[in-house]
Amino acid sequence: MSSYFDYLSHTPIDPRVTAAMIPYLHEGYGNPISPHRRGREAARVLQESREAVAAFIGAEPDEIIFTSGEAESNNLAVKGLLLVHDHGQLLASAVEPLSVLRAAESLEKWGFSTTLIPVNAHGQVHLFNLEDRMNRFTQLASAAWVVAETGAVQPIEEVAELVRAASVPYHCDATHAARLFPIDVKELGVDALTLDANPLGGPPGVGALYLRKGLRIQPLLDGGAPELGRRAGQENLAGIAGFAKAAELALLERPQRFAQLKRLDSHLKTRFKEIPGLVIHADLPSRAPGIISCRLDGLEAEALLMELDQAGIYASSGSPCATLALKASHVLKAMGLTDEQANSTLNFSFGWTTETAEIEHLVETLKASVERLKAMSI
Amino acid sequence: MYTPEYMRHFTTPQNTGEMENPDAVEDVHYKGEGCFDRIRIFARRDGDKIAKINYLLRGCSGTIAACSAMSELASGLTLDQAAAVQGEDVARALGGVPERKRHSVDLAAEALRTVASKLKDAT
Repeated sequence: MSSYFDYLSHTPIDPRVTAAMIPYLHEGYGNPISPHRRGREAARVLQESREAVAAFIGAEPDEIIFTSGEAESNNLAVKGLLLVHDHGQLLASAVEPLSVLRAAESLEKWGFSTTLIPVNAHGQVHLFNLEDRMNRFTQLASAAWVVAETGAVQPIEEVAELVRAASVPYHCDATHAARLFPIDVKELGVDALTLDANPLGGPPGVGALYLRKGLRIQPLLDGGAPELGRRAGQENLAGIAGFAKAAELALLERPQRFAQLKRLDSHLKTRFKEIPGLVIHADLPSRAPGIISCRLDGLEAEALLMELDQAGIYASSGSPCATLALKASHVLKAMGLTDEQANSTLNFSFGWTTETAEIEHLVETLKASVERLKAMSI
Repeated sequence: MYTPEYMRHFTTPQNTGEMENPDAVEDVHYKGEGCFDRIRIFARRDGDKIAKINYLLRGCSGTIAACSAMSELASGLTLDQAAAVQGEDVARALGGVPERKRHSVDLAAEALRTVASKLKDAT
């Protein structure tokens, strides 16, 4: 039996999405900028997809810029919205994805300043910390809706309100929120919002940035004028058609998916209580269902992942030993965990199609692995 | 990525657990950044030879496999031979290790050298 708990790394593609993509990988090829019939057909598909993604978040179609996914959207938002100024400050939560934090490091090299907003032990931004650090030089605030690694949900309505009151644009990475919560960008008051197709059951390598009409942005890629002049490079038509289909399905099915995910999450959490010493991070009632970050002090996550892998269970970790990272997860560190605790942290992420049998498989295997490793532990 | 020997030692590690009445016990830990691997090694001697090695640890799959291989490798070595074992020797017993598991074989070898030196000092 194979059980998959690494949706954060890659979510399986919904077969209905694959079906929607296939025509544009075969006979439906064409570049939307070409004036001939194939080009016009591609442009039509692109426009319809743009409308579907816009409808998914309550935006206008020309407020959607298609990208290669979360990392590019975050880079475009953070760098693009700062680089239209000569100088200024970026405010970013300390638990932002690395694509935001690395973009911030680049901005610092180019003369901009970055201030990180500390978070509490659950990885949530305190509003007073945000307000305290905002000043007349602040040109952008960035705080993701759901912290991917832990499932912590940020108080983004309050963040947006606070930032808007100071006339500062607000960028929100909604990559891991979009599959869970309805999004209306106008109601939320966000100025830029990152989406990624894959967590919705769409293809990997496709995403979008919502950019409020009227907001100036510096493109990161120079070239022709696709995406209304805001991103060079031919659009990934098949991927975008898949993204649109995934967004349409998510819009229709989100309540049922959320309820199912909540049931599975609750079941896994209950079963995890049977494993001595297992501590769940950011475990507030608001935690995003489908993401459980937990640690087993004294055990190395990489060894546990290898044990699970041997049993056909696929998960991930915040431990540098289990990844190619050189340092412990910045999210766990920002929450106050030690490097050693981060090394003992496992991430289990799953979706609405995950089966109860997979959860049983995971819990029983993990229990046995913990017992085996503890028997040889100092 | 991992050799069959590595996987064999990881999935069925040999000589784990505390030893009753050992002749020497030593603790070693990784001294680099971001890794918290540590080993408690127990040794019993038979004259000037290592009779048996046991160990407890906190570590990744590499350190588990390396300790298991090291414990087999050490059995029957003279104290001088054991005190000269290097990470490369443990890596060879595992059929090779990826670069990112080099710290594991080095630490297992260090544990063996440390306990062998202690046994030698006690003679």
